[in-house]
Amino acid sequence: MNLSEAAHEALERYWIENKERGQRWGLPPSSPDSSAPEALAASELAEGGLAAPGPLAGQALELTAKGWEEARRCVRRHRLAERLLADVLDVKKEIIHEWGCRFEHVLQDGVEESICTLLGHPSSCPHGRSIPPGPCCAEGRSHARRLVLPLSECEPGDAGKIAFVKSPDAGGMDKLTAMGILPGQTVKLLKKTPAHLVQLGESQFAMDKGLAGRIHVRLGRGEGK
Amino acid sequence: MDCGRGGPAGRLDGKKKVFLVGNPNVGKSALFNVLTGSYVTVSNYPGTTVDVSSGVMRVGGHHEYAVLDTPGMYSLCSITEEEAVARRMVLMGRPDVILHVVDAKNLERMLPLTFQLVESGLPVILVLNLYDEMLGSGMRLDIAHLEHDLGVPVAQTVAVSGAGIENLRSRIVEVLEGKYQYDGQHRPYTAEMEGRIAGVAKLLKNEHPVSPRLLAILALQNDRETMAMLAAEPELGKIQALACDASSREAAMRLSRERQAAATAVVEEWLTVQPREKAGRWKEALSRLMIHPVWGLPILAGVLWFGLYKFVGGFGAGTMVDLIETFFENRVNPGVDAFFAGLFGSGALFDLFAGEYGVVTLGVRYAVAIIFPIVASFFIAFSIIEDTGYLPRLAMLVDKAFKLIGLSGRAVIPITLGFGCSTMATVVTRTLESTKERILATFLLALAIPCSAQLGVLMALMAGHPGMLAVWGFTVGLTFVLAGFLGKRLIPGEDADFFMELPPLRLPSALNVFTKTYTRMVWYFKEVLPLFVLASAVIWLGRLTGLFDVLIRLISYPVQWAGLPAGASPAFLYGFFRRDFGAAGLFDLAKAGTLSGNALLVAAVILTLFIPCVAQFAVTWKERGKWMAMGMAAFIFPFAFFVGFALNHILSFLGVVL
Ligand SMILES: Nc1nc2c(ncn2[C@@H]2O[C@H](COP(=O)(O)OP(=O)(O)OP(=O)(O)O)[C@@H](O)[C@H]2O)c(=O)[nH]1
Ligand SMILES: [Mg+2]
Ligand SMILES: [Zn+2]
Ligand SMILES: [Zn+2]
Repeated sequence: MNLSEAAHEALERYWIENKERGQRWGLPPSSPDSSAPEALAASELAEGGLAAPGPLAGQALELTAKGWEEARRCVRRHRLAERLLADVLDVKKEIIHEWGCRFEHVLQDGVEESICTLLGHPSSCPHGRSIPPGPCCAEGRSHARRLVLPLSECEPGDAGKIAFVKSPDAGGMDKLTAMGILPGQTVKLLKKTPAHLVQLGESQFAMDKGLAGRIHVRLGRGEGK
Repeated sequence: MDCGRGGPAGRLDGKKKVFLVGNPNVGKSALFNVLTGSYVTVSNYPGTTVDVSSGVMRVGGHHEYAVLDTPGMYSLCSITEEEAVARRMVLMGRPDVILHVVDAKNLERMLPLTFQLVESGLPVILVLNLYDEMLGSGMRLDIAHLEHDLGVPVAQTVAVSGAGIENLRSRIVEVLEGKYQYDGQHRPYTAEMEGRIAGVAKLLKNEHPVSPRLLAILALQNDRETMAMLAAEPELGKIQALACDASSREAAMRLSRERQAAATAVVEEWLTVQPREKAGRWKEALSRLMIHPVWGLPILAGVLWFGLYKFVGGFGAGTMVDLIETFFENRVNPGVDAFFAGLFGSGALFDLFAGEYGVVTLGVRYAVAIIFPIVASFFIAFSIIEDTGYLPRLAMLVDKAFKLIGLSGRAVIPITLGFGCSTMATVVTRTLESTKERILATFLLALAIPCSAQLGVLMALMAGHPGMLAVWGFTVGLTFVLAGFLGKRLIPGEDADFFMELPPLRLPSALNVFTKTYTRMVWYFKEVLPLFVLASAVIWLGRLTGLFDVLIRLISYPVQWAGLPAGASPAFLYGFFRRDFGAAGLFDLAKAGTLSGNALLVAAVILTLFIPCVAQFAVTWKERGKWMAMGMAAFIFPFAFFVGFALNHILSFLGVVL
């Protein structure tokens, strides 16, 4: 379904208010002469059969079953996009939400699942709100853990390939890159205290939590606990 | 580590230059030693070498080449200062051949640097050192094919046993005498990156010591020092536009990944791994114990107890000092006194050499009878610890605690070395990553790390009084922690990350421990003896002119203010030259019974907090700048007396009599 950005926003807001905040919130009634974006969105949703007038006061619209389903996917994509921005692309936290809005449209149906799997079927967005699970998650969560996670969140004994290395600021070569800690290499976490001890090839590197948290690994199958 | 050893010396002029380059702790210095027959420090931790050393390699009767050992570096983009030293040597030192030394069992991780060195356009030989350890971990390499594939000579060596060295020498000669044909091929990057590299390279118009290709690659990685090298380029503006755009970090990452992928492909082709031998298991278990958050502590306590307290304090400062002191007092000093009395009568010249403050009876005696045995035993213990590979593990163990005082675990190495000689240790602070950490470590070395000689004397003096030793340790320890705690907050800049490679535990070789101790002692005495003699002479001159009395009277104010007898003043005057010299002065005073327990304690604390010595001051000046050095001195001397003053008052307030 090709909805406008405003309609997406309206769906998300509806989801948050009614599902997460426990409010009874309705979309503003559709009136052909209003040019307020909210009202436009509402009429767009009503036309698509996603919203209909309900028992709420002031002729506010409520979502239909189809509308609820769409809202859920919308929220899910938005929050997955946020996770992607935060974990993989290292976008600053303050602007993640805004970017998430633009980014979610990119996550069309097929892509959404593979991103979800890449991120290890995350259950919450960077702001701590829960991500509605998709079909991929049911099977993924039986592994119980994210597939890609920072070394600082791994357990001793975990091994896998480096998926990406977050770097703190731009310009010049990052320290970890210079040391040869690069995506694609296999690492194993040996210890977490008193510092993180990482096996790379035949060498062992000790590093503090801050550095270990920048190295994100895709856990190998069966090697994790 | 060998401060005082200069850069490439004049005697190398005109000789062809062989550079030893590579990752830290792969055996570059060990190779340097076998190739040249000289000795630079070899230890089992990354960051042993912090400066360039040079030597001469002779092959047959008529070939003489200059060999230069460099500090280890992980890549051509340096992070710490000693890495920058190495990198500058490669980019600007115009070597005739580069020996890229790698740890053979980690070839895959180190080969990308080989590619970078080859990109420089300079002749490269790949040296697979630690070949014994590679074989031990079950790996086999097809060297002939590897050599063919890389297009550079490849030689396998075991630097510590000498295996493969003859072959390496002949490969060096082969290259230097133009008998090896480099095909000039380099490993291509993807077409897109090649395009960007060529775009920058063709803008380079000036003559540089290394190929435009390498400079272009480094520029694309937005390497600051490379951009500085290119500052005189006529097309600088265009180069900057191409190189320093927002995607530079991404370019750095892509180039690194492409190099790594190429390295992996090569290694997978020619390396076979057989099932591992289980021989190294107990080492792994011991290593785990050393870094265990609980079991690591008793191990550390054991190392300190046996290494420091028993061996240095008990054997060095106790038994050995007694023996040599007695020998001096009974045999040497009377003889010297008699000899100079016969020569000069009892005038001023007699006092210069003999008597109470004579150059021989005081200066040489302090150096030989007190300092020598203590420092020697410290360096023996320290060398053994260094060679096992314990220090990086200790660094890991204490990292969290060190973070509280603004240092990372890496600082363990300069700080422990500071117990031996803080001059050496101050140079080693180069291995620390941030300026803030380097300043703080230098300051703490100058303030609160006693050197072994001083420590030994103090331990010997306070041997019978555990309470006194405890208060002294507590006061100095507290000063260390508080100074670090405040420094962390007051010195601008970010706190350092902790990152360190843990080398495998290795069995120290007696020969290396001995040679290392010996070279360090020679170095130490070259620094110490002239100072001792000079100090004695200055004091003699001072006494002759009456200046000595003036100075003593001046110092006697803060001395008495801190609750000490005026008679302790000369010890503090020596302390300005070297604090261990001052400690030796205390030794004499205490033996004469002129110091009460409290006074001895207070004096010991003040002297411990003094700037270590003139040489350390000079090195701080060189490494950190004159303002920093003078600022530290201006703070430390009054502060030391202040702590003594405070301690004295607290003791008398509490009614403690030691
Ligand atoms: N078994 C074995 N040990 C070696 C070999 N070469 C060097 N070592 C040991 O490896 C450790 C490091 O040697 P160094 O020569 O100090 O290494 P480096 O490359 O100069 O190190 P940095 O100066 O820190 O860059 C020492 O403990 C050596 O005894 C070798 O071929 N075989
Ligand atoms: Mg070295
Ligand atoms: Zn969110
Ligand atoms: Zn999922």
